[in-house]
Amino acid sequence: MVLELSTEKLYTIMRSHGLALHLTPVEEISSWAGVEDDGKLLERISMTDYGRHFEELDDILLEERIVKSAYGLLGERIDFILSILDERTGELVRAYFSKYDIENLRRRFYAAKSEREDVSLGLIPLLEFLPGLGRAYEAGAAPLEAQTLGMEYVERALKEWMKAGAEDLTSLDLLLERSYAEIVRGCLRWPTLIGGAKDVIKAYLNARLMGIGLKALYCGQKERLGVLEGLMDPKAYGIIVKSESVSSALDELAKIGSYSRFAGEAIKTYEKVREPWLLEYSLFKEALEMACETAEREPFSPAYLFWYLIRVEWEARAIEILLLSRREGLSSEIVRGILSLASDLP
Amino acid sequence: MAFRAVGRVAPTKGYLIKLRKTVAFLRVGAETLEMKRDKLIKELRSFLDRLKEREELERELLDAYAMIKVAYSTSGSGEMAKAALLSDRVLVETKTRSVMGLEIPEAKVPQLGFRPSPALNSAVISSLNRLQETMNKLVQLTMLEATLEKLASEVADTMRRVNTLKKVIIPGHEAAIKYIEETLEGESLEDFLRIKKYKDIKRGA
Repeated sequence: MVLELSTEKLYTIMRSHGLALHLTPVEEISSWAGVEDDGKLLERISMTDYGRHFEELDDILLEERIVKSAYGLLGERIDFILSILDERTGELVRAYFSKYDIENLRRRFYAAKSEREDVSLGLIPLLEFLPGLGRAYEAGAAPLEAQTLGMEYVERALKEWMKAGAEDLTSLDLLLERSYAEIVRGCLRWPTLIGGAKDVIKAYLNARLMGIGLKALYCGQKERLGVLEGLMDPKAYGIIVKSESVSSALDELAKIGSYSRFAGEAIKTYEKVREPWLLEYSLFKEALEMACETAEREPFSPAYLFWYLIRVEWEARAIEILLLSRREGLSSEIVRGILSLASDLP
Repeated sequence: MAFRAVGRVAPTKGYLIKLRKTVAFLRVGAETLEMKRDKLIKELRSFLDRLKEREELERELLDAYAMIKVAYSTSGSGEMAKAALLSDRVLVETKTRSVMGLEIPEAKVPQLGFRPSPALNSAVISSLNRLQETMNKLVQLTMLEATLEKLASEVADTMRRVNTLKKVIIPGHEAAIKYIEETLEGESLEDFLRIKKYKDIKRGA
């Protein structure tokens, strides 16, 4: 497929090909799960790009340091891509990663609404993708004042929540999830976005919303999914709201081509654990697989760039999971199982 | 004379009557205690089958703990903290019921604390749901074990009382009764002989 790209965009794509050479191979990360000696593991990590962020033993042993170090490189990588991207594509990248801002905003509200002093909520250490969101929240004299937030979709979500009494955190969760979907959807409407990149992001968003739908079904709160109607894939939405259980919903989703691979994997897990276990990881891996296939098909399109971004995100999460799992004493087989990826771009 | 189970015994008719009444009362008491023992044993047996639940529950607790470790590893402490903030206190209602005068504890959990939100990580939702189910079972098992301990202790006490009554106190009283009867019989024979001798002396004189 030949795409007409601006010089700026083409340059970024070519740079992302070069940057992809710095990715840590999936097999290498998985092999770290079997390294028992902390010193040797640090040595192995220091031989990758993560070496700049994991310098001391505490960086692989203490949770706060693990998260800070793993997200440190992710932040640098995204920041670099954003610095060389054209405005429109940059907006889409920001929209995609705004899920971290939304999550941080959610945590701020959770902390503000909670009267529990024994529970502390840390924020994800990443740069702000929705500029001013955190500052607006912190600067507000009344922290729950929705008007101080600049983002249109987030503001609408918060206004709705305030109108409903600003008490129900589950309702806030779903409204913020809706605002994330709206932010991404808004960017996907731009005609300048061409090639498979659109499909990659759309597939990711559908998978994310489907995950929320399945979890709502599991939690017995599917009637609340109305908030996401019109944003979720209508087929998936229809199946979830009509289903009585997660397993029956997964059975139905398995019949739809685009969801069959994910549903098949989720059914296997569900049969084993009897819970919708690690749903997000199955969905994220599915999105990464899809991005991988699209990038292979269109190596000189924005799809490759988005594959690169999703891949670096997976890498940071994988390293975080791996190190936290070691801390918790999980066996290397379990860790490899969680991290397993079916394929990766060479 | 002194008896271990009775104490000092006065070999009089009045005391004999009193002792006979006491023995009759003790026999009724022993029978009642035997009935209580049988009822408690029956109650105890009805719970025995459920004792194997402990082994199963220990396994479930280990599974739940392993799931929490995976949830923590895959979602981090931030997500776990969110789940904690969404949770209420667990409410446990306790009351007692009486079985043959024995207070047996009963508990139910009208409110489980965790209120899952679909925006939480699925591993966190699943592991906390599993833990919550297990904790509910744990409360029930704790009550069961407390009940069994109380019942077992009461059965042992009752058996000891029955044995003491049947093997020590009642035989002791019976021995005292026998002693009094023999003493009284001896005394009455002595009286008879004394009277007879008196009559013989009186007749000879």
